[in-house]
Amino acid sequence: MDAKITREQIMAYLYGEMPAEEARLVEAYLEENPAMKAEYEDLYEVRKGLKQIKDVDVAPPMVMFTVKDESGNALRLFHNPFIQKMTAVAASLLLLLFIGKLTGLQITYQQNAVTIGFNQPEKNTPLISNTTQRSTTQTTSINMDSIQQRMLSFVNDFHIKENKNLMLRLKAIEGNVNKMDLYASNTTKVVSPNNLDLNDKNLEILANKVSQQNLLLLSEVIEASSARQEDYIKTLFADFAIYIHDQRMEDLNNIQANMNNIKQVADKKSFETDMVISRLIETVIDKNY
Amino acid sequence: MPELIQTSLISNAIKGDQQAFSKLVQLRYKRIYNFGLKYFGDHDLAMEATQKTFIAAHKHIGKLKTVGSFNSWLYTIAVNQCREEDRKLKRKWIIPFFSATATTEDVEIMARKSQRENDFDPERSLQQDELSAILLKALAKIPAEQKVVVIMKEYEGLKFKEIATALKISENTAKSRLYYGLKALKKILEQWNIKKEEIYYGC
Repeated sequence: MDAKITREQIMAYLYGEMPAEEARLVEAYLEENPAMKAEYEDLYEVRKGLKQIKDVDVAPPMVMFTVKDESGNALRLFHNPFIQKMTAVAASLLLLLFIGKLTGLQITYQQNAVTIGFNQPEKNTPLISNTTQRSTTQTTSINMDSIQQRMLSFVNDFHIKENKNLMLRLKAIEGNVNKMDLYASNTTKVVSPNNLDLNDKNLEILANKVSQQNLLLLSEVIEASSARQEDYIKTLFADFAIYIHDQRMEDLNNIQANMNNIKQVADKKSFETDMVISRLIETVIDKNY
Repeated sequence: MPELIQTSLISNAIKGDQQAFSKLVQLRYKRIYNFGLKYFGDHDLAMEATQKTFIAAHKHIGKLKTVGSFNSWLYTIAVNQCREEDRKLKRKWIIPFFSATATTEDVEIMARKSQRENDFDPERSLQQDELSAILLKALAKIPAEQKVVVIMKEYEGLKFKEIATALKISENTAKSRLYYGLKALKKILEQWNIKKEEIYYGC
Protein backbone atom coordinates (compact mmCIF):
# COMPACT_ATOMS: atom_id res chain seq x y z
CA MET A 1 0.00 0.00 0.00
CA ASP A 2 1.30 3.41 -0.94
CA ALA A 3 2.19 5.76 1.93
CA LYS A 4 0.06 8.59 0.53
CA ILE A 5 -3.25 6.78 0.54
CA THR A 6 -3.86 4.25 3.25
CA ARG A 7 -5.84 1.03 3.05
CA GLU A 8 -8.35 2.53 5.47
CA GLN A 9 -8.89 5.48 3.17
CA ILE A 10 -9.51 3.15 0.23
CA MET A 11 -12.13 1.31 2.26
CA ALA A 12 -13.81 4.55 3.34
CA TYR A 13 -13.84 5.66 -0.32
CA LEU A 14 -15.22 2.27 -1.43
CA TYR A 15 -18.16 2.59 0.96
CA GLY A 16 -18.70 6.32 0.43
CA GLU A 17 -17.87 7.24 4.00
CA MET A 18 -15.49 10.02 3.17
CA PRO A 19 -15.80 13.78 2.79
CA ALA A 20 -16.13 14.91 -0.82
CA GLU A 21 -12.81 16.76 -0.82
CA GLU A 22 -10.90 13.76 0.46
CA ALA A 23 -12.74 11.51 -2.01
CA ARG A 24 -11.54 13.68 -4.91
CA LEU A 25 -7.97 13.27 -3.70
CA VAL A 26 -8.37 9.49 -3.57
CA GLU A 27 -9.88 9.49 -7.08
CA ALA A 28 -6.96 11.49 -8.43
CA TYR A 29 -4.52 9.18 -6.70
CA LEU A 30 -6.19 6.10 -8.20
CA GLU A 31 -6.04 7.62 -11.66
CA GLU A 32 -2.31 8.11 -11.28
CA ASN A 33 -1.70 4.60 -9.88
CA PRO A 34 -3.10 1.86 -12.14
CA ALA A 35 -2.04 -0.92 -9.76
CA MET A 36 -3.97 0.64 -6.89
CA LYS A 37 -6.91 1.29 -9.16
CA ALA A 38 -6.94 -2.38 -10.20
CA GLU A 39 -6.93 -3.40 -6.54
CA TYR A 40 -9.76 -1.00 -5.82
CA GLU A 41 -11.75 -2.40 -8.74
CA ASP A 42 -11.19 -5.94 -7.47
CA LEU A 43 -12.63 -4.97 -4.09
CA TYR A 44 -15.54 -3.28 -5.83
CA GLU A 45 -16.25 -6.46 -7.86
CA VAL A 46 -16.22 -8.60 -4.70
CA ARG A 47 -18.73 -6.18 -3.16
CA LYS A 48 -20.98 -6.54 -6.19
CA GLY A 49 -20.72 -10.31 -5.98
CA LEU A 50 -21.69 -10.30 -2.30
CA LYS A 51 -24.93 -8.55 -3.19
CA GLN A 52 -26.09 -11.83 -4.72
CA ILE A 53 -26.79 -13.18 -1.22
CA LYS A 54 -30.33 -12.07 -0.54
CA ASP A 55 -32.05 -11.69 2.79
CA VAL A 56 -34.26 -14.54 3.92
CA ASP A 57 -37.72 -13.78 5.24
CA VAL A 58 -38.46 -15.06 8.70
CA ALA A 59 -41.55 -14.61 10.83
CA PRO A 60 -40.84 -13.05 14.21
CA PRO A 61 -41.89 -15.28 17.11
CA MET A 62 -44.89 -14.60 19.30
CA VAL A 63 -43.50 -12.64 22.23
CA MET A 64 -44.98 -13.30 25.67
CA PHE A 65 -45.03 -9.91 27.33
CA THR A 66 -46.80 -8.75 30.42
CA VAL A 67 -49.59 -6.18 30.72
CA LYS A 68 -50.94 -4.80 33.93
CA ASP A 69 -54.54 -5.06 34.98
CA GLU A 70 -56.50 -2.39 36.85
CA SER A 71 -55.13 -3.44 40.22
CA GLY A 72 -51.58 -3.25 38.88
CA ASN A 73 -50.98 -6.99 38.80
CA ALA A 74 -49.00 -8.29 35.87
CA LEU A 75 -50.96 -10.36 33.38
CA ARG A 76 -49.60 -12.46 30.59
CA LEU A 77 -51.01 -11.44 27.24
CA PHE A 78 -52.18 -14.95 26.54
CA HIS A 79 -53.80 -15.15 29.97
CA ASN A 80 -56.30 -12.60 28.74
CA PRO A 81 -59.66 -14.51 28.54
CA PHE A 82 -60.63 -12.96 25.20
CA ILE A 83 -57.29 -13.84 23.59
CA GLN A 84 -57.50 -17.31 25.09
CA LYS A 85 -61.01 -17.83 23.66
CA MET A 86 -60.03 -16.54 20.24
CA THR A 87 -56.95 -18.74 20.19
CA ALA A 88 -58.96 -21.77 21.29
CA VAL A 89 -61.59 -21.18 18.59
CA ALA A 90 -58.95 -20.71 15.92
CA ALA A 91 -57.07 -23.80 17.07
CA SER A 92 -60.28 -25.88 17.13
CA LEU A 93 -61.24 -24.75 13.64
CA LEU A 94 -57.78 -25.58 12.38
CA LEU A 95 -57.91 -28.99 14.05
CA LEU A 96 -61.35 -29.68 12.55
CA LEU A 97 -60.20 -28.63 9.12
CA PHE A 98 -57.15 -30.83 9.39
CA ILE A 99 -59.05 -33.88 10.63
CA GLY A 100 -61.75 -33.32 8.02
CA LYS A 101 -59.10 -33.15 5.33
CA LEU A 102 -57.39 -36.28 6.60
CA THR A 103 -60.58 -38.33 6.81
CA GLY A 104 -62.13 -36.90 3.66
CA LEU A 105 -65.15 -35.75 5.70
CA GLN A 106 -67.99 -34.41 3.53
CA ILE A 107 -71.07 -32.70 4.96
CA THR A 108 -73.79 -31.91 2.42
CA TYR A 109 -77.31 -30.58 2.69
CA GLN A 110 -79.57 -31.77 -0.11
CA GLN A 111 -83.34 -32.29 -0.30
CA ASN A 112 -83.89 -31.33 3.34
CA ALA A 113 -81.37 -33.86 4.51
CA VAL A 114 -77.91 -33.53 5.97
CA THR A 115 -75.47 -36.13 4.76
CA ILE A 116 -72.20 -36.84 6.47
CA GLY A 117 -69.80 -39.15 4.72
CA PHE A 118 -66.20 -40.00 4.16
CA ASN A 119 -64.22 -40.14 0.96
CA GLN A 120 -67.08 -38.88 -1.19
CA PRO A 121 -66.02 -37.09 -4.32
CA GLU A 122 -66.62 -33.36 -4.22
CA LYS A 123 -69.06 -32.24 -6.84
CA ASN A 124 -68.41 -28.53 -7.10
CA THR A 125 -64.77 -27.88 -6.40
CA PRO A 126 -62.72 -31.00 -6.75
CA LEU A 127 -59.30 -30.50 -5.20
CA ILE A 128 -57.83 -33.44 -7.01
CA SER A 129 -58.69 -35.40 -10.13
CA ASN A 130 -61.46 -38.02 -10.21
CA THR A 131 -58.97 -40.84 -10.28
CA THR A 132 -57.30 -39.58 -7.12
CA GLN A 133 -60.60 -39.11 -5.33
CA ARG A 134 -61.58 -42.76 -5.59
CA SER A 135 -61.00 -44.83 -2.54
CA THR A 136 -58.01 -46.98 -3.22
CA THR A 137 -59.44 -49.99 -1.40
CA GLN A 138 -62.74 -49.73 -3.28
CA THR A 139 -60.96 -49.49 -6.59
CA THR A 140 -58.82 -52.49 -5.83
CA SER A 141 -61.72 -54.69 -4.65
CA ILE A 142 -63.94 -53.81 -7.61
CA ASN A 143 -61.20 -54.50 -10.06
CA MET A 144 -60.26 -57.74 -8.29
CA ASP A 145 -63.86 -59.02 -8.63
CA SER A 146 -64.10 -58.08 -12.25
CA ILE A 147 -60.75 -59.67 -12.99
CA GLN A 148 -61.76 -62.90 -11.24
CA GLN A 149 -65.02 -63.04 -13.20
CA ARG A 150 -63.18 -62.44 -16.43
CA MET A 151 -60.70 -65.17 -15.63
CA LEU A 152 -63.43 -67.68 -14.81
CA SER A 153 -65.42 -66.92 -17.93
CA PHE A 154 -62.33 -67.15 -20.07
CA VAL A 155 -61.31 -70.52 -18.59
CA ASN A 156 -64.84 -71.85 -19.21
CA ASP A 157 -64.81 -70.61 -22.79
CA PHE A 158 -61.40 -72.07 -23.28
CA HIS A 159 -62.53 -75.53 -22.00
CA ILE A 160 -65.60 -75.54 -24.23
CA LYS A 161 -63.52 -74.56 -27.25
CA GLU A 162 -60.87 -77.18 -26.51
CA ASN A 163 -63.50 -79.89 -26.01
CA LYS A 164 -65.03 -79.05 -29.38
CA ASN A 165 -61.60 -79.23 -30.99
CA LEU A 166 -60.94 -82.57 -29.35
CA MET A 167 -64.27 -83.96 -30.52
CA LEU A 168 -63.55 -82.84 -34.05
CA ARG A 169 -60.11 -84.42 -33.96
CA LEU A 170 -61.52 -87.66 -32.58
CA LYS A 171 -64.06 -87.78 -35.36
CA ALA A 172 -61.31 -87.17 -37.89
CA ILE A 173 -59.21 -89.95 -36.36
CA GLU A 174 -62.24 -92.29 -36.42
CA GLY A 175 -62.77 -91.47 -40.08
CA ASN A 176 -59.11 -92.15 -40.77
CA VAL A 177 -59.32 -95.49 -38.99
CA ASN A 178 -62.32 -96.47 -41.08
CA LYS A 179 -60.48 -95.44 -44.21
CA MET A 180 -57.44 -97.44 -43.12
CA ASP A 181 -59.62 -100.48 -42.46
CA LEU A 182 -61.15 -100.11 -45.87
CA TYR A 183 -57.76 -99.61 -47.46
CA ALA A 184 -56.33 -102.60 -45.62
CA SER A 185 -59.16 -104.82 -46.78
CA ASN A 186 -58.88 -103.51 -50.35
CA THR A 187 -55.11 -103.91 -50.34
CA THR A 188 -55.37 -107.43 -49.07
CA LYS A 189 -57.88 -108.14 -51.68
CA VAL A 190 -56.13 -106.35 -54.57
CA VAL A 191 -52.42 -106.64 -53.83
CA SER A 192 -52.40 -110.18 -52.60
CA PRO A 193 -55.42 -111.85 -53.93
CA ASN A 194 -53.69 -115.16 -53.56
CA ASN A 195 -52.70 -114.51 -50.01
CA LEU A 196 -56.13 -114.43 -48.51
CA ASP A 197 -54.99 -114.63 -44.93
CA LEU A 198 -57.52 -112.18 -43.58
CA ASN A 199 -58.61 -114.26 -40.75
CA ASP A 200 -59.92 -112.89 -37.46
CA LYS A 201 -56.50 -112.96 -35.84
CA ASN A 202 -54.87 -110.68 -38.45
CA LEU A 203 -57.77 -108.30 -38.32
CA GLU A 204 -57.49 -108.13 -34.56
CA ILE A 205 -53.75 -107.33 -34.82
CA LEU A 206 -54.48 -104.60 -37.35
CA ALA A 207 -57.22 -103.16 -35.20
CA ASN A 208 -54.90 -103.14 -32.20
CA LYS A 209 -52.23 -101.27 -34.16
CA VAL A 210 -54.73 -98.72 -35.32
CA SER A 211 -56.10 -98.21 -31.85
CA GLN A 212 -52.52 -97.78 -30.49
CA GLN A 213 -51.87 -95.14 -33.10
CA ASN A 214 -55.12 -93.48 -32.18
CA LEU A 215 -54.16 -93.44 -28.53
CA LEU A 216 -50.78 -91.99 -29.41
CA LEU A 217 -52.38 -89.25 -31.45
CA LEU A 218 -54.91 -88.58 -28.75
CA SER A 219 -52.24 -88.26 -26.06
CA GLU A 220 -50.23 -85.88 -28.27
CA VAL A 221 -53.30 -83.75 -28.82
CA ILE A 222 -54.04 -83.63 -25.11
CA GLU A 223 -50.41 -82.79 -24.27
CA ALA A 224 -50.35 -79.98 -26.81
CA SER A 225 -53.64 -78.71 -25.49
CA SER A 226 -52.51 -78.72 -21.86
CA ALA A 227 -49.23 -77.03 -22.80
CA ARG A 228 -51.14 -74.26 -24.54
CA GLN A 229 -53.46 -73.95 -21.57
CA GLU A 230 -50.53 -73.79 -19.17
CA ASP A 231 -48.83 -71.09 -21.25
CA TYR A 232 -51.99 -69.10 -21.34
CA ILE A 233 -52.53 -69.33 -17.59
CA LYS A 234 -48.92 -68.27 -17.03
CA THR A 235 -49.38 -65.27 -19.29
CA LEU A 236 -52.64 -64.45 -17.60
CA PHE A 237 -51.06 -64.53 -14.14
CA ALA A 238 -48.12 -62.46 -15.35
CA ASP A 239 -50.50 -59.89 -16.80
CA PHE A 240 -52.48 -59.92 -13.57
CA ALA A 241 -49.31 -59.36 -11.51
CA ILE A 242 -48.37 -56.43 -13.76
CA TYR A 243 -51.88 -55.07 -13.42
CA ILE A 244 -51.74 -55.36 -9.62
CA HIS A 245 -48.33 -53.69 -9.58
CA ASP A 246 -49.55 -50.84 -11.78
CA GLN A 247 -52.63 -50.47 -9.61
CA ARG A 248 -50.45 -50.33 -6.51
CA MET A 249 -48.23 -47.68 -8.06
CA GLU A 250 -51.29 -45.68 -9.02
CA ASP A 251 -52.65 -45.99 -5.47
CA LEU A 252 -49.32 -44.86 -4.03
CA ASN A 253 -49.26 -41.91 -6.39
CA ASN A 254 -52.78 -41.04 -5.31
CA ILE A 255 -51.79 -41.24 -1.65
CA GLN A 256 -48.73 -39.07 -2.36
CA ALA A 257 -50.90 -36.52 -4.17
CA ASN A 258 -53.33 -36.48 -1.24
CA MET A 259 -50.51 -36.10 1.26
CA ASN A 260 -49.01 -33.22 -0.73
CA ASN A 261 -52.41 -31.61 -0.89
CA ILE A 262 -52.89 -31.94 2.86
CA LYS A 263 -49.40 -30.57 3.49
CA GLN A 264 -50.04 -27.57 1.26
CA VAL A 265 -53.33 -26.85 3.00
CA ALA A 266 -51.74 -27.26 6.45
CA ASP A 267 -48.78 -25.01 5.49
CA LYS A 268 -51.13 -22.40 4.11
CA LYS A 269 -53.30 -22.49 7.24
CA SER A 270 -50.23 -22.31 9.48
CA PHE A 271 -48.91 -19.32 7.54
CA GLU A 272 -52.31 -17.62 7.67
CA THR A 273 -52.55 -18.25 11.42
CA ASP A 274 -49.07 -16.77 11.93
CA MET A 275 -50.03 -13.72 9.91
CA VAL A 276 -53.30 -13.25 11.80
CA ILE A 277 -51.57 -13.60 15.17
CA SER A 278 -48.79 -11.18 14.08
CA ARG A 279 -51.39 -8.64 12.95
CA LEU A 280 -53.28 -9.13 16.19
CA ILE A 281 -50.14 -8.50 18.22
CA GLU A 282 -49.29 -5.44 16.14
CA THR A 283 -52.83 -4.12 16.54
CA VAL A 284 -52.72 -4.60 20.30
CA ILE A 285 -49.31 -2.92 20.52
CA ASP A 286 -50.29 -0.05 18.21
CA LYS A 287 -53.39 0.59 20.29
CA ASN A 288 -51.21 1.00 23.33
CA TYR A 289 -49.23 3.72 21.56
CA MET B 1 -41.37 2.95 10.88
CA PRO B 2 -40.28 6.55 11.55
CA GLU B 3 -37.07 7.09 13.47
CA LEU B 4 -38.93 8.97 16.18
CA ILE B 5 -41.20 6.02 16.97
CA GLN B 6 -38.24 3.67 17.07
CA THR B 7 -36.45 5.99 19.43
CA SER B 8 -39.56 6.10 21.57
CA LEU B 9 -39.79 2.32 21.57
CA ILE B 10 -36.14 1.94 22.58
CA SER B 11 -36.54 4.57 25.27
CA ASN B 12 -39.63 2.87 26.69
CA ALA B 13 -38.03 -0.58 26.47
CA ILE B 14 -35.07 0.73 28.50
CA LYS B 15 -37.55 1.90 31.12
CA GLY B 16 -39.00 -1.60 31.33
CA ASP B 17 -41.92 -1.39 28.90
CA GLN B 18 -42.42 -4.99 27.77
CA GLN B 19 -44.74 -4.07 24.92
CA ALA B 20 -42.18 -1.66 23.51
CA PHE B 21 -39.54 -4.35 23.73
CA SER B 22 -41.76 -6.89 21.97
CA LYS B 23 -42.34 -4.37 19.18
CA LEU B 24 -38.58 -3.92 18.87
CA VAL B 25 -38.24 -7.69 18.57
CA GLN B 26 -40.77 -7.63 15.72
CA LEU B 27 -38.80 -4.89 14.01
CA ARG B 28 -35.30 -6.28 14.41
CA TYR B 29 -35.86 -10.03 14.31
CA LYS B 30 -35.35 -10.41 10.56
CA ARG B 31 -32.11 -8.41 10.58
CA ILE B 32 -30.55 -10.35 13.43
CA TYR B 33 -31.68 -13.66 11.93
CA ASN B 34 -30.10 -12.79 8.58
CA PHE B 35 -26.93 -11.72 10.36
CA GLY B 36 -26.81 -15.16 12.01
CA LEU B 37 -27.66 -16.92 8.78
CA LYS B 38 -24.74 -15.31 6.98
CA TYR B 39 -22.46 -15.96 9.93
CA PHE B 40 -23.27 -19.69 10.13
CA GLY B 41 -24.84 -20.46 6.75
CA ASP B 42 -27.31 -22.58 8.70
CA HIS B 43 -30.97 -21.84 9.53
CA ASP B 44 -31.11 -23.70 12.85
CA LEU B 45 -27.96 -22.12 14.24
CA ALA B 46 -29.09 -18.69 13.04
CA MET B 47 -32.47 -19.16 14.78
CA GLU B 48 -30.76 -20.30 17.97
CA ALA B 49 -28.39 -17.30 17.98
CA THR B 50 -31.25 -14.90 17.18
CA GLN B 51 -33.43 -16.15 20.00
CA LYS B 52 -30.56 -16.03 22.48
CA THR B 53 -29.70 -12.51 21.31
CA PHE B 54 -33.18 -11.23 22.10
CA ILE B 55 -33.33 -13.10 25.40
CA ALA B 56 -30.03 -11.49 26.41
CA ALA B 57 -31.21 -8.12 25.11
CA HIS B 58 -34.40 -8.41 27.18
CA LYS B 59 -32.37 -9.25 30.24
CA HIS B 60 -29.91 -6.37 29.91
CA ILE B 61 -31.78 -3.60 28.11
CA GLY B 62 -32.24 -1.76 31.37
CA LYS B 63 -28.47 -1.23 31.49
CA LEU B 64 -28.37 0.51 28.10
CA LYS B 65 -27.27 4.09 28.68
CA THR B 66 -28.22 5.87 25.45
CA VAL B 67 -30.97 5.27 22.93
CA GLY B 68 -28.62 5.96 20.00
CA SER B 69 -26.35 3.06 20.88
CA PHE B 70 -29.16 0.48 20.74
CA ASN B 71 -28.27 -0.72 17.23
CA SER B 72 -24.59 -1.27 17.98
CA TRP B 73 -25.45 -2.77 21.35
CA LEU B 74 -27.84 -5.28 19.76
CA TYR B 75 -25.21 -6.31 17.21
CA THR B 76 -22.65 -6.68 20.00
CA ILE B 77 -24.97 -9.18 21.67
CA ALA B 78 -25.62 -10.92 18.34
CA VAL B 79 -21.90 -11.26 17.61
CA ASN B 80 -21.28 -12.63 21.11
CA GLN B 81 -24.10 -15.15 20.74
CA CYS B 82 -22.81 -16.23 17.32
CA ARG B 83 -19.31 -16.70 18.74
CA GLU B 84 -20.74 -18.65 21.67
CA GLU B 85 -22.70 -20.93 19.33
CA ASP B 86 -19.58 -21.33 17.23
CA ARG B 87 -17.59 -22.40 20.28
CA LYS B 88 -20.31 -24.87 21.29
CA LEU B 89 -20.38 -26.24 17.77
CA LYS B 90 -16.66 -26.88 17.81
CA ARG B 91 -16.94 -28.71 21.14
CA LYS B 92 -19.81 -30.89 19.96
CA TRP B 93 -19.67 -34.27 18.35
CA ILE B 94 -22.53 -34.12 15.91
CA ILE B 95 -24.13 -37.42 15.02
CA PRO B 96 -26.94 -36.87 12.51
CA PHE B 97 -30.14 -38.50 13.66
CA PHE B 98 -31.20 -39.60 10.21
CA SER B 99 -27.98 -41.54 9.59
CA ALA B 100 -29.38 -44.40 11.66
CA THR B 101 -32.33 -44.81 9.31
CA ALA B 102 -30.96 -43.19 6.22
CA THR B 103 -33.18 -43.21 3.17
CA THR B 104 -31.86 -42.85 -0.35
CA GLU B 105 -32.59 -39.14 -0.23
CA ASP B 106 -30.73 -38.78 3.07
CA VAL B 107 -27.77 -40.57 1.62
CA GLU B 108 -27.79 -38.18 -1.34
CA ILE B 109 -28.00 -35.16 0.98
CA MET B 110 -25.14 -36.49 3.08
CA ALA B 111 -23.13 -37.19 -0.05
CA ARG B 112 -23.72 -33.66 -1.33
CA LYS B 113 -22.84 -32.20 2.09
CA SER B 114 -19.74 -34.32 2.30
CA GLN B 115 -18.77 -33.35 -1.21
CA ARG B 116 -19.23 -29.69 -0.43
CA GLU B 117 -17.06 -30.02 2.66
CA ASN B 118 -14.32 -32.20 1.25
CA ASP B 119 -14.31 -31.92 -2.48
CA PHE B 120 -16.22 -28.76 -3.18
CA ASP B 121 -16.79 -28.29 -6.88
CA PRO B 122 -17.93 -24.69 -7.44
CA GLU B 123 -18.40 -24.95 -11.20
CA ARG B 124 -20.87 -27.76 -10.80
CA SER B 125 -22.69 -25.83 -8.09
CA LEU B 126 -22.95 -22.84 -10.41
CA GLN B 127 -24.59 -25.03 -13.00
CA GLN B 128 -27.09 -26.08 -10.34
CA ASP B 129 -28.00 -22.48 -9.67
CA GLU B 130 -26.48 -22.42 -6.20
CA LEU B 131 -24.69 -19.12 -6.53
CA SER B 132 -25.99 -17.83 -3.26
CA ALA B 133 -24.92 -21.02 -1.48
CA ILE B 134 -21.44 -20.72 -2.97
CA LEU B 135 -21.06 -17.14 -1.78
CA LEU B 136 -22.28 -18.12 1.68
CA LYS B 137 -19.80 -20.95 1.64
CA ALA B 138 -17.03 -18.54 0.68
CA LEU B 139 -18.12 -16.19 3.45
CA ALA B 140 -17.93 -19.05 5.93
CA LYS B 141 -14.33 -19.72 4.91
CA ILE B 142 -12.90 -16.35 5.93
CA PRO B 143 -11.77 -15.69 9.53
CA ALA B 144 -14.64 -14.92 11.94
CA GLU B 145 -13.44 -11.43 12.87
CA GLN B 146 -13.30 -10.41 9.19
CA LYS B 147 -16.58 -12.17 8.42
CA VAL B 148 -18.42 -10.24 11.15
CA VAL B 149 -17.24 -6.92 9.74
CA VAL B 150 -18.11 -7.93 6.16
CA ILE B 151 -21.64 -8.94 7.20
CA MET B 152 -22.18 -5.82 9.30
CA LYS B 153 -21.01 -3.55 6.50
CA GLU B 154 -22.36 -5.30 3.42
CA TYR B 155 -25.66 -6.65 4.66
CA GLU B 156 -26.55 -4.72 7.79
CA GLY B 157 -25.42 -1.38 6.36
CA LEU B 158 -23.70 -0.25 9.56
CA LYS B 159 -21.33 2.70 9.48
CA PHE B 160 -17.70 2.05 10.33
CA LYS B 161 -18.27 3.95 13.55
CA GLU B 162 -21.17 1.68 14.53
CA ILE B 163 -19.13 -1.42 13.68
CA ALA B 164 -16.26 -0.11 15.77
CA THR B 165 -18.61 0.51 18.70
CA ALA B 166 -20.30 -2.89 18.39
CA LEU B 167 -17.03 -4.77 18.26
CA LYS B 168 -15.18 -2.48 20.65
CA ILE B 169 -12.41 -1.82 18.16
CA SER B 170 -11.15 1.29 16.39
CA GLU B 171 -12.62 2.47 13.11
CA ASN B 172 -9.34 1.86 11.35
CA THR B 173 -9.26 -1.72 12.63
CA ALA B 174 -12.78 -2.23 11.29
CA LYS B 175 -11.73 -0.89 7.88
CA SER B 176 -8.62 -3.02 7.91
CA ARG B 177 -10.58 -6.17 8.76
CA LEU B 178 -13.06 -5.40 6.01
CA TYR B 179 -10.21 -4.91 3.53
CA TYR B 180 -8.65 -8.25 4.42
CA GLY B 181 -12.07 -9.93 4.42
CA LEU B 182 -12.85 -8.77 0.88
CA LYS B 183 -9.37 -9.75 -0.30
CA ALA B 184 -9.78 -13.19 1.27
CA LEU B 185 -13.17 -13.63 -0.44
CA LYS B 186 -11.68 -12.70 -3.79
CA LYS B 187 -8.89 -15.22 -3.28
CA ILE B 188 -11.34 -18.00 -2.35
CA LEU B 189 -13.53 -17.31 -5.38
CA GLU B 190 -10.46 -17.36 -7.60
CA GLN B 191 -9.35 -20.66 -6.07
CA TRP B 192 -12.78 -22.06 -6.87
CA ASN B 193 -12.39 -20.76 -10.40
CA ILE B 194 -15.44 -18.53 -10.12
CA LYS B 195 -15.14 -15.56 -12.40
CA LYS B 196 -16.95 -12.30 -11.91
CA GLU B 197 -18.92 -12.85 -15.14
CA GLU B 198 -20.34 -16.05 -13.70
CA ILE B 199 -21.39 -14.27 -10.53
CA TYR B 200 -23.14 -11.48 -12.39
CA TYR B 201 -24.79 -14.00 -14.69
CA GLY B 202 -26.77 -15.14 -11.66
CA CYS B 203 -28.25 -11.67 -11.22
